[in-house]
Amino acid sequence: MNPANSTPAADRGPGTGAAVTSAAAARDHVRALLRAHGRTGGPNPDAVIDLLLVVSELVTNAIRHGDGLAGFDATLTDAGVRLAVRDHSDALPARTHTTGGIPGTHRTNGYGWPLIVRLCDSVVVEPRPGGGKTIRVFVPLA
Amino acid sequence: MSDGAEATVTRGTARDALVVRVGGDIDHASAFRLEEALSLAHRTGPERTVVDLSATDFADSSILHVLLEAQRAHRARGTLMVVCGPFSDIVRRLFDVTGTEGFFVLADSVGAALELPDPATGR
Repeated sequence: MNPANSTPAADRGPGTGAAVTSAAAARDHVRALLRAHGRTGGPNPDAVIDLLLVVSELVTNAIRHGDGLAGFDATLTDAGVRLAVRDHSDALPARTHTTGGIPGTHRTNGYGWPLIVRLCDSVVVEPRPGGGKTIRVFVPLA
Repeated sequence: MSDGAEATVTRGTARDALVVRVGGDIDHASAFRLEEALSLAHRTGPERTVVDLSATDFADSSILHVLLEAQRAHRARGTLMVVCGPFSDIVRRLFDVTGTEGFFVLADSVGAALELPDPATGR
């Protein structure tokens, strides 16, 4: 069962271990993570809404534009949630600012990526060694 | 904070309007259902279409694409499309954050959506 009183909070809670394969599953996973640590309400319920939107957009991008979802991790900290979404494509989200060597960008419906950028405190796009990329973001919950 | 429920899209009519109601959580996997229901408006040609999001608990930008395309098609035909609430916090936030509120004709309820004068005809 869940060692609810153990630390750190990374990925603990109901649903841990079951692979996230859809945006809906990712939202449920994050909701469960927050519930397991009593972080569902608090002074800023809007923050949870923003988190769910970001989760949904990130996973959707991986599935629709990233040649498939390769992994999804959510880590709860005091200040918010760190998300890492891995996909199989080297193509970067449109309008990503990089230093060069851009392999190519992909088109989205135009609203998902700006939403992510607007709602996250930080957004980092990392190439993965075997191909594809990891998008790491931090969504504040304070 | 309950777990999500898969989207349901139902169609009905009210006073010569097609009312398409979205319930539950709608995202990229289920947005096609809304798209299908709205394409019916194109084929059957009601006086107006009301997209009822009052039972929509969660929506991400996938719904915006569908709504914008439908809005475009309605404008091309000169038919009014109204998106109505009352909206959940998430849906309201989605419109807010993406700045897309102004793209749609919005109403607070299905009743209000049916009562709205059509800008094209004044009725």
